[in-house]
Amino acid sequence: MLDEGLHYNKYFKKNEKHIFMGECYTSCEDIVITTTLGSCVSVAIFDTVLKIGGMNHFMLPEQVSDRTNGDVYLSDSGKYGMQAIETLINCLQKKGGKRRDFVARIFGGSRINSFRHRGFDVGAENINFAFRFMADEKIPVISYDVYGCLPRRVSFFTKTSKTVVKYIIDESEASRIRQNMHLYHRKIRQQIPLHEMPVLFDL
Amino acid sequence: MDNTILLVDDSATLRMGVSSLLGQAGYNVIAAGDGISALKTMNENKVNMVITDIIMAEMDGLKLIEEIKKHSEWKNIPVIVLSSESSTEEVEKGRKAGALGWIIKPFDNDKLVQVVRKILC
Repeated sequence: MLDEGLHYNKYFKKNEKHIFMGECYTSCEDIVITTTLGSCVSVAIFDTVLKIGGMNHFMLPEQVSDRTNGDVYLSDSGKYGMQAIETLINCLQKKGGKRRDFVARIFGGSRINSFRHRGFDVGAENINFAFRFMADEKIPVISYDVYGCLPRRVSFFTKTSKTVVKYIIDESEASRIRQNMHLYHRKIRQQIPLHEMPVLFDL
Repeated sequence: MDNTILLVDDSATLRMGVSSLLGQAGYNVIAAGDGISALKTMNENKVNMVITDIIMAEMDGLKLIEEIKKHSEWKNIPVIVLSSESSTEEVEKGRKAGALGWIIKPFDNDKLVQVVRKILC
C-alpha cells in the first residue's frame, strides 16, 4: 500500500508522485516526482547534504517584470510566485533541510501557442521570476531546461537530484495541456488576492 | 523617533519586499535572517517592534519570541508573526509564546502597514 497518491513507475522502477498546477511535493524517500509543464514553471530543490528534494509547479497570474527591487515581491502576483517557492522551501526545512545546502533546477516556461496575457509572454515571465527569486535567495541554479515551444514532462529524483525531461510532441496531449493551462491561469487570476485578515490577540 | 522595526525572516525576497513596503510607509527597518541574528541585532539597536517568520533554521520564530519575552528590557516590545503557517495550533503557540498578532503569507500590503501603524501609534 503506497501513501499520498504514490504509484509505482515501472520504467524508473521507483514510486512516483505526480503533481499538478499549484501543487508542491517533497520527500525524504527515494522516489520520483513528475509533472507536465506548458508555460508554467517547476522549481526542483535538492538538499545536497541530507539528500532530500522536492518540486513545485506554478504560474504567475500577472506580469511582475516591470517592477524593480523589492517591489517585485510586493505585487499580488509576485507574492503568489514567492509563496509557491517558499512553500517548497518550508516543506524541505521542516524535514531538516538547510537553505545553505540547497541547489535548484528550473524547468518549463514554454511559449505554447503564443500564450500571452495582456501583452506579456506568460512563460518568459514565469522563467524570469524563478531565476530572479533564486538569485535573490542565493540558491544556486545548477541546471535548467526552459523556453521552447513544446510542453515537457519533468521527472525529478528526490535522492539524487537527477532529472529527466521529455518533450511532448503528441498533439492531443499537448492540446490537453494547453487547455488546462488556460483554465488554471484564469482561475488564479480570479483567486488573487488570497489574503487572510491579520489576527491580533490583545489589541 | 520610535519607529524602528526588526524584521526577521530567512527569505531574502521577503526581507526585500517588506523592508521596501515599511520603508515607504516611513519606518526604519532592520532585517535579520534568523532568531540568533535577531537577538544580536536587538543587543546592538533600539527596536520598537519585531516582525518575525516562524520556520527558520537557526532559532525559529517561536523560540525568538520566548527569548524576547524573557528579557527584562525587551519583554514589552510588540512582536507580530508573519508566516505561511496558518493552522490554529501554530497560531495558538504564537499567542502563548507572547506574540501580539499573526499575519498569514501571502499578506495584504495595506493591512500589514495598518497593523504596524496601530501598534506603533
